[in-house]
Amino acid sequence: MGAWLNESMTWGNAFVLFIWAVVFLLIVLGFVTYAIYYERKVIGWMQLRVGPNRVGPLGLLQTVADILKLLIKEDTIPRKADRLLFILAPALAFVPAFAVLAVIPYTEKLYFADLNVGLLYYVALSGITTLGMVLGGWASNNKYALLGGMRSAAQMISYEVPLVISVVGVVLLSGSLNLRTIVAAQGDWFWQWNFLPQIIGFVVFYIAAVSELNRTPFDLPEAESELVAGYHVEYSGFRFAFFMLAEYVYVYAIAALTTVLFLGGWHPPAPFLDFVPGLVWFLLKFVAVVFSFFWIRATFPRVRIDQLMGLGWKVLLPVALLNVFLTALYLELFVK
Amino acid sequence: MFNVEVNGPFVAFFVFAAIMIGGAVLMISLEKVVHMVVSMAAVFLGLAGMYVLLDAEFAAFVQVLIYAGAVSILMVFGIMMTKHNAAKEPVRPLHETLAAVGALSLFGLLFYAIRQTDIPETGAAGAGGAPGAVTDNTLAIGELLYTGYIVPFELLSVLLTVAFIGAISLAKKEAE
Amino acid sequence: MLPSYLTLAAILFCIGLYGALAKRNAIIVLLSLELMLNAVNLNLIAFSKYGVVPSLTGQIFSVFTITVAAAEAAVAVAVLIALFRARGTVDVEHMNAMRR
Repeated sequence: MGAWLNESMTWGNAFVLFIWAVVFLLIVLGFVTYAIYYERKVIGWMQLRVGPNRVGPLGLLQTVADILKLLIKEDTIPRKADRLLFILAPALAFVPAFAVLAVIPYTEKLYFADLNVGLLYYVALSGITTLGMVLGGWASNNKYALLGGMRSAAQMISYEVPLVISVVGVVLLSGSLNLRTIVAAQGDWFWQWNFLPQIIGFVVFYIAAVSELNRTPFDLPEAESELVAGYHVEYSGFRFAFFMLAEYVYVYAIAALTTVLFLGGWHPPAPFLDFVPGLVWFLLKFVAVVFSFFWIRATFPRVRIDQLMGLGWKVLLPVALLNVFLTALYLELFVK
Repeated sequence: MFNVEVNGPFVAFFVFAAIMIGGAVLMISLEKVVHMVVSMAAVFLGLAGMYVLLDAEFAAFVQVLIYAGAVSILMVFGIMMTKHNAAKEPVRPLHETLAAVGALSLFGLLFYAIRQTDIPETGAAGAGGAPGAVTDNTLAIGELLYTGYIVPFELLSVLLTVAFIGAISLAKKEAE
Repeated sequence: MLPSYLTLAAILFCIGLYGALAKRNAIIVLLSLELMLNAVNLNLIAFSKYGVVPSLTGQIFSVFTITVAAAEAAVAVAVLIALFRARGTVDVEHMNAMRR
């Protein structure tokens, strides 16, 4: 894949790159379909239920049926809504979600874009999704939607700060913002991966990531019991599907980013295990992270909005700053 | 005048320029304030694209992060917390015409200056130690920032802290 | 290529200037100011690649400008909200006194 990027841009190459993008989009859609199925099954087991089991063998086609239902639903636009923004908002939320995936490296060979500002690219683009959510909530002309949109913006901006600062420790250790270099800088044994040397950063990153995803226990923007459904109350049909899609694509993106930044990417946990291809290790870690998100959703209660803001600004931010300070001190005293 | 070859960067420049000028013109002419912010976000994104064309990746993504992400959302918040009556504001033909004439004449002056100036083609190729040849733009900027520009950098962090505290204390509701 | 960038920046700057002079809604005036700052940044970065002495200084300077502009936007929106609370309007024509 990487070889294609260095060639000159001809129509043939452009076509190949386009095909790659389409294939990748299909893979991501497949992931989203089965992530939703997996989530429902996991939560079902944790609550001593069976989960979806009717459509197809073991209920495997349940999500497909749900998506089909969404797509053939009537597409409603409220009369008093702001038509233009109402239509624009779902696209504005989804496009960055798919675009951030470009910088994730899967193995040494399999990656899409080799940017030397990879991490910054991820953080910058994911901010635009927030804009899509706020505009969607505003354009709906609905109190609940507006409240949900405002909450989502406040929450995502407040948690982006600790998220970025918690990663600074990793950047200090590897000396690059390029995600491939960051993976390559992590050692062969699993205790050399960033999650142990950067344990404070890892914990802050993980909490902030769950919050960025708007998932329980931080799903205030779409808290069913207080806001009906949050910023997408008025959306139906495929526009609603776009918002859901953006949300689950971010689950994919954050899980992949956690794997790359803290869990050693494609490295096997011990050098003698490297007969297993790197992609398998990547996928194993990736699935473990996704499972942990579902596990948290099934077992934690929702926090209050003031607790949420307090946690972000008064706990996570100082701890993340402390982590940067400690990492810099360690590098200065023991490495240089 | 139009003796440019049509290649990838040129087409990209043209597309980004169209997005930016279109967004800026829409920003001036649209009715609703929120629409203006959205068209402004398009300008910010187009500008980030320009920075990528100019080999300034770090500045480009800082631009997306700060402008398209933070400043736009800040403006949307500002709009939602204040009231914007839909009623048309009274037109002031004289004032607006004067402003337009002023802006146009400034543009004329700038354009004349740009056309008259003879700019030697030096860094365009990016060869011979020019920054176009720097492979890791971020690393180079980081090193400059912490060596030659350390004092402005620290002053800027003080400024940000002051602005942060000032904004909070200004926007906080006064105790009745 | 440099004259194209400079012309584009000039166009943006003049649109921003017109907006800042002719509009009365404070938020639009703010947006126009941001547009003018952005045009200046485009010039700085264009000169850092195509200028007579290409160097990274232009990019550093534009990063500084972006930071200052972000601080300015935050304070400006805060002032706006405080003013709106005091006066109930965002029209710059009515913001002509230091106190009621």
